[in-house]
Amino acid sequence: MRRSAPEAGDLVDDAGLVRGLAAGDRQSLAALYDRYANAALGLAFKICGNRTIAEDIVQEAFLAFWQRPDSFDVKRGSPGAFLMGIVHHKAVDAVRRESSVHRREENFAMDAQDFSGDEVVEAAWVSIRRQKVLAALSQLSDVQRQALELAYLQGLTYSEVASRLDIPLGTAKTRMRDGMIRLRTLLSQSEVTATHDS
Amino acid sequence: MTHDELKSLVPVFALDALGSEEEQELVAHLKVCLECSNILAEHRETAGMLGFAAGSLQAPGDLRDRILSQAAKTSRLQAIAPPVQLKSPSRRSWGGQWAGLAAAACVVALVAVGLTFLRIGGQADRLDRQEQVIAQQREVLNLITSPDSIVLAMAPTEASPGGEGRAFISDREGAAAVVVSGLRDPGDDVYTLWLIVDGEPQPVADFVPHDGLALVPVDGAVEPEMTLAVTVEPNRGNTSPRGPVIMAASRA
Repeated sequence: MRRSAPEAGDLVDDAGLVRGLAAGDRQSLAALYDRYANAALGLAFKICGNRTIAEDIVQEAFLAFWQRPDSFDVKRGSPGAFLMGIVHHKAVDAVRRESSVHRREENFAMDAQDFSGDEVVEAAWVSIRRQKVLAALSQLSDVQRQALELAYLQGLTYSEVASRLDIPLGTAKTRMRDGMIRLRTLLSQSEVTATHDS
Repeated sequence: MTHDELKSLVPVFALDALGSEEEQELVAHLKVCLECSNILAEHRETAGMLGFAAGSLQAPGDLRDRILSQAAKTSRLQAIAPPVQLKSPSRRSWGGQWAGLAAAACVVALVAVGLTFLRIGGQADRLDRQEQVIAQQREVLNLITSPDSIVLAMAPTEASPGGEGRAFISDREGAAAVVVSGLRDPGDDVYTLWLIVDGEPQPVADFVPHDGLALVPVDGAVEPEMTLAVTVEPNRGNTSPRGPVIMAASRA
């Protein structure tokens, strides 16, 4: 088990870090990195399956947040989810540019030894969020969860999801939409999103 | 596609799972539909949370250094350039008319402040200055009430100390004005309005609100793709921003 060093932003809440970013404070960026870099890298790698590309994506995502702190509206969500959204978008873009699921799977197999859930000790708030999300996912129907995982964690479009599952396009879309609505409700009930990381 | 069809795609879009054609159509729709934009914000938060399900991977030590080093090279000019747009610009609607009336009321209040100062001052130079101010305020009032002007809400940023701002832009007049209300006294600092063109902020004017109110005329056209932004600056006369953006609006 590999342990992370103490994190620079442990005592500052997410909203405080965003205020720091808006003011051009690099220590806030460092603290945000300490808090979310491992989770961001996990997501990027999960989607693109290539460690070098995943690190580039994480770098781009943090710099995008740094350059555009005002693109995040604290009233509309949490900076952690916002950052993960940037990572996801960039990772999906990268994968679609490469346009090779086969290659992705090969890369994933090659680097799979690096991808173990026990490898890092996650920051408490990341760990809590992960547990809440996994708990919420477990309450979705099997077909909803399957559709969301294929779309979000494998970066497939809904037409690719339909093709992969051999179901009509409309059915894939409905499963994803219903799954998202249900997930949102469950997460709100667990107050993960409602607290906005404050 | 109909509105309902586009609305049904919003959760899928939040997952980055639309094909390119549908995505383009939805993105265009989101620029003009506040309802769908609000739904998207909620689903984006959910989708972002979903990212935590992927698990974590130990980032290499040098990645942190690379990011911080790159951030140090990134100009804060670039950092403030991209705007947040609260809602799409539109031709004057009923809402716009009410915004115009509210702004006009602000102008009247400011004119009253000017006249009060005029009576108390009584000196020739002060009188000249106040006449200029009042003439300027009348120009802004004309701009605000012009039927061709469009109204943009200035979206507050995380650094906003409160207050609201609206930009009134008239292509016919080739001019614009920003009216703010509820803005607190900046103390030793000063507010500055910037016009950001191609990512380069150009100072329009420094200003200090009276009783929370201020109007700032922009001499010249505000073209599409340009952004208006207000910062809090530590001193007057800065040619590039040093303080945080507190509100911004774009015609893009």
